[in-house]
Amino acid sequence: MTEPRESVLVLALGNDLLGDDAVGLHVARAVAMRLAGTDGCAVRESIEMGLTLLDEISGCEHLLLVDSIETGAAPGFVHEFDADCLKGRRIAAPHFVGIAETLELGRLLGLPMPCDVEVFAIEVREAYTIRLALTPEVQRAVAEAADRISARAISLLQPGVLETGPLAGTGTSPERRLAVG
Amino acid sequence: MHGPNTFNLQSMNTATELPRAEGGAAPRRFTIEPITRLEGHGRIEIFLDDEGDVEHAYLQIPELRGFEVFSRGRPAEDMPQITSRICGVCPTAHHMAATKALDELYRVEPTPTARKIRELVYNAFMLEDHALHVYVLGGPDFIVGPQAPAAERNLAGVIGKVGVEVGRKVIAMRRRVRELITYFGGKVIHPVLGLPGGVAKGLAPADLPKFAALAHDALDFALFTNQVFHDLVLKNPEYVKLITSDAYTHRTYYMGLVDAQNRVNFYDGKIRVVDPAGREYASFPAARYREFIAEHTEPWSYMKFCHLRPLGWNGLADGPDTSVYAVAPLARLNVTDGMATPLAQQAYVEYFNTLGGKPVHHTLANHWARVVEMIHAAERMVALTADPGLTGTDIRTLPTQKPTVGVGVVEAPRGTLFHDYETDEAGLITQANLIVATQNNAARIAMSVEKAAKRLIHRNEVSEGLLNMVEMAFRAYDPCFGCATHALPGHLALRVRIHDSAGGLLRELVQE
Repeated sequence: MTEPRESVLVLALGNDLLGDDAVGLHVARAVAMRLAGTDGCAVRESIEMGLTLLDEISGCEHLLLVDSIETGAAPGFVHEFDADCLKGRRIAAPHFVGIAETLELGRLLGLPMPCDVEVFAIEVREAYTIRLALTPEVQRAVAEAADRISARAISLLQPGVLETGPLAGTGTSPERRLAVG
Repeated sequence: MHGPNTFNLQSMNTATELPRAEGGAAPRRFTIEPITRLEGHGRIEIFLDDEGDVEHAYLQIPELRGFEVFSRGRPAEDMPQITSRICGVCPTAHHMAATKALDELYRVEPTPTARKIRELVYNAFMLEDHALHVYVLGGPDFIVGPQAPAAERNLAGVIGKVGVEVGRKVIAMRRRVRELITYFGGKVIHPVLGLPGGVAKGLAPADLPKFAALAHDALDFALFTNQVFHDLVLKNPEYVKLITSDAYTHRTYYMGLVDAQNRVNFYDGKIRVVDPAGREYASFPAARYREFIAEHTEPWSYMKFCHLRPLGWNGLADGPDTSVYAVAPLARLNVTDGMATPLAQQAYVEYFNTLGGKPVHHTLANHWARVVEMIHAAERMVALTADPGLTGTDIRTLPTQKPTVGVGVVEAPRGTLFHDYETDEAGLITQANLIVATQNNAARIAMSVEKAAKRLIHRNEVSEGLLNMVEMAFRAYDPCFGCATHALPGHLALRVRIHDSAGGLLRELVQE
């Protein structure tokens, strides 16, 4: 599992039985279509949480996480932020480990963790009702989110970005780190 | 006045103040909220009285809605797959409880080999889940220590204490256990292991040595964990004092699954309940759970508090008159007469001898009980992989009877888990209900959170360390926010009214 697998991993999290909670999975499928045939990039879905993600994210250089979020913004709004923003907010996560901690643990154990993690989180309206469909406003956001993530993945695959490393690239400039809600 | 070790609630970064009510009355509810699935959905709510002291506090777990509506009309055989997808935390527990409910539904007994395979998978899952909690989730509280600076009470601190190699061991053990589960059932989240009357796949004799080796390594690992717990926790008198302190003690009833000799069994048996003095209060098959479990709602909480139905609701109070019960490791050890395996039995005896005999009412002892259970799970894995019957080829009894009703129960890592289905003659679901571990524990968790909050909030002043102490109070239960669902038909409108101490309505919420 320590072999590098791909440069860019788009990993979508969500539960396909929980209404809008599945939006990330829908976005991932749209991203996969847009990036079909693109070398160095993989798109995966997971309905698991916590440390399980350690195996999923090991080996990639750039991780683009797609998830649902509730901040009070308009349903369908696509937030972008750096995974560092999630640090220090572990109060409500007694059972499973947040992504920031998963990354930290992976690094401590010497596992090949991505050098940067960007989160694309789609504001949801109803994520606690067991059903298969997305609400219409969240469904409408899928294409936009997929466009943005695909574009970001392609920009990360540009030779300049990979050669100079992610911190020197434009991808992690402060203006990209939009506040959460 | 703010002393050096206090700060004001209103200034807490993680607390959200509700808007002021009409007439400018000061808000009395404070909420500590998470933000995303990446971090969980649980929430603590603290209600203050006029003096700024805590009146109520509890851990809010969001209620998943629509389970019954979603299930209705689907083939019962789909339930092990559907329910294991509800929650990404303990899919194997849901899968197994649902599979056992199907056995009951079709009144079919799994073959001996099928039962052994299920037990092997289930004990492997319990071991892995408990290990995760001991090292990763509870670790900051115990391995690093409750008195350690906040900056060290995290995963990095745990790794610093136990070493990188142990961290790698935990991760490797987890991966190997998941390989075992996927061998039998495909994906962990979408397992296709359980069928009414058996399992979908047997164990090829050629593959047995790999899993036998895993079982032995798992036992070494569990015993090593027991040693770590002794060295870092039990040899420190301050920790033991904390475990047994009044702040983390509640005298309640306890519930858990036991075998015919009243010993711990995660997979099967009857439900046993003991009273706060440790005497048997009830012993019943899972199918009778409705006679013993009822739910109570309070106007100030969305939560439904499970309690013992025959006793009625006697409030969030402990002692001889309580009707609150607990599940999970602490409860499981309290309801048993012993462990079914020798090394776990040794650990069990030491546990009760150290903590003053049965029952143990100290919530933080859950951490130690979890280690005892890890040994039990690993010993069961060793025994099952040494059993020639495990590689048998008769892995399913085909159902021949018409389905009617079926209740399945297992001990999930976080406690007793019930699945209850009814179908029509074609086997399509007409009614489905779940009671998950965290629901069973909700009342006692609320009592623990409230007790911690009351000690640390006085007149709007919050002592430093509140969040740690409240977190420690509920983290010992290992509550799961992923699936604490209640399967009421479709959407249940629930009206919540929040009052100040004078009875004035501060805010009204309606959940549709």
